[in-house]
Amino acid sequence: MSLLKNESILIIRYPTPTLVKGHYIQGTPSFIYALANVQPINGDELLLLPEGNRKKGTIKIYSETEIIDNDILRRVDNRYTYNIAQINTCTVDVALDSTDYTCTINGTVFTHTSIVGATILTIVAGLVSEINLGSELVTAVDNLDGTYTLTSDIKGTLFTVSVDVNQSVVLDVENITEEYKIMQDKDYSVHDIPHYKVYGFLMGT
Amino acid sequence: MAYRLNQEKEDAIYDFIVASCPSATVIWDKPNDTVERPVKPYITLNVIFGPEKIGDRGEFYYKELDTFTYKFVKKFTLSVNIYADSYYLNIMNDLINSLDLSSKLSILRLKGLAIWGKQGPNDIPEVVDTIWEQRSHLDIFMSYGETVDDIPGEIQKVELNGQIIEIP
Repeated sequence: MSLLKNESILIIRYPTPTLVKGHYIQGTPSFIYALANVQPINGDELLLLPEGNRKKGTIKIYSETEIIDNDILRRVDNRYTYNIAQINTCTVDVALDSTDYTCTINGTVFTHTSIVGATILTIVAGLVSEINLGSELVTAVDNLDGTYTLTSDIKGTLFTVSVDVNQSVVLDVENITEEYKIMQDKDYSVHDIPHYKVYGFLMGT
Repeated sequence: MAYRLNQEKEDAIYDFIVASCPSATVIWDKPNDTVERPVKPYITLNVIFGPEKIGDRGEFYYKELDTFTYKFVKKFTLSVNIYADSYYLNIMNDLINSLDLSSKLSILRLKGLAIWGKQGPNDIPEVVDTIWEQRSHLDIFMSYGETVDDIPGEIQKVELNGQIIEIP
């Protein structure tokens, strides 16, 4: 996760309520967009919070835009995301002569026909070569142990794979999208942490 | 906005307190308000008890077909707290006097409110941080009448089975 990046925040600021017949009437809020650096609080700062508030999601926000007590802050941008590439491992279970070994990726069939006297290693090598010559955005790597690994060239892009009866395939790494959310999708109310002062900081861009 | 009574009655109570103590800011002390208190002197109002029906079962009158009107007398307690650095007892004295002044009571009567009595005043200063905050407290017992329509239905007709015996 990146704590050095700034992110856009929305500051919702309500004016001082007006008294009408003894009742406080909330005015129309103003909306201010600002850039801020959002940091989690550490253990010492957690202890400064009032009891009962220590299990709430609390963050620190640094910004050149003024933020005052009773402001409400909201996240604006999407969460930062990063993807993980899908990885499958295929295993040639049995070496047969003059047999078509296939690996189908995204519907594209890659075939290697084994020669007489073929071994598992030669079959794997042949399949890896066929796959890497193809146009599917998947890279095959010979593990030199009778298995070969298929890795998506584009993180976050799912691919399908199936093999013939003389092979087996397992999913090692699932294609997933990891998201880091600095500010969650909820309203944050601003409170001063007592006895805590920020004397100055450098804001990166 | 949440009203313990209704807006009309609460506005009348507010106007009565303001007319009685014009030098102080008057606010309703609602438990869900998070705003800052106003500058002193100020008065907080809170309905701490009721409104509750008093007396035996209320009177009810026939209104129209199947409909009856019930008349209740509801009583409630208004808690008044005065916060002032000085002259808080003077402000309280003005309020207590108003409980008997017709010109002030007319504000309440126009909205159907009546004052039954009071308890206090009580001088209840409290230490806030390192200084004493002067406070004076008064409970005012008030009531109003309320009519409620109900439709319990009526027995329109009764069917009897029997014989009419000639009366000698």
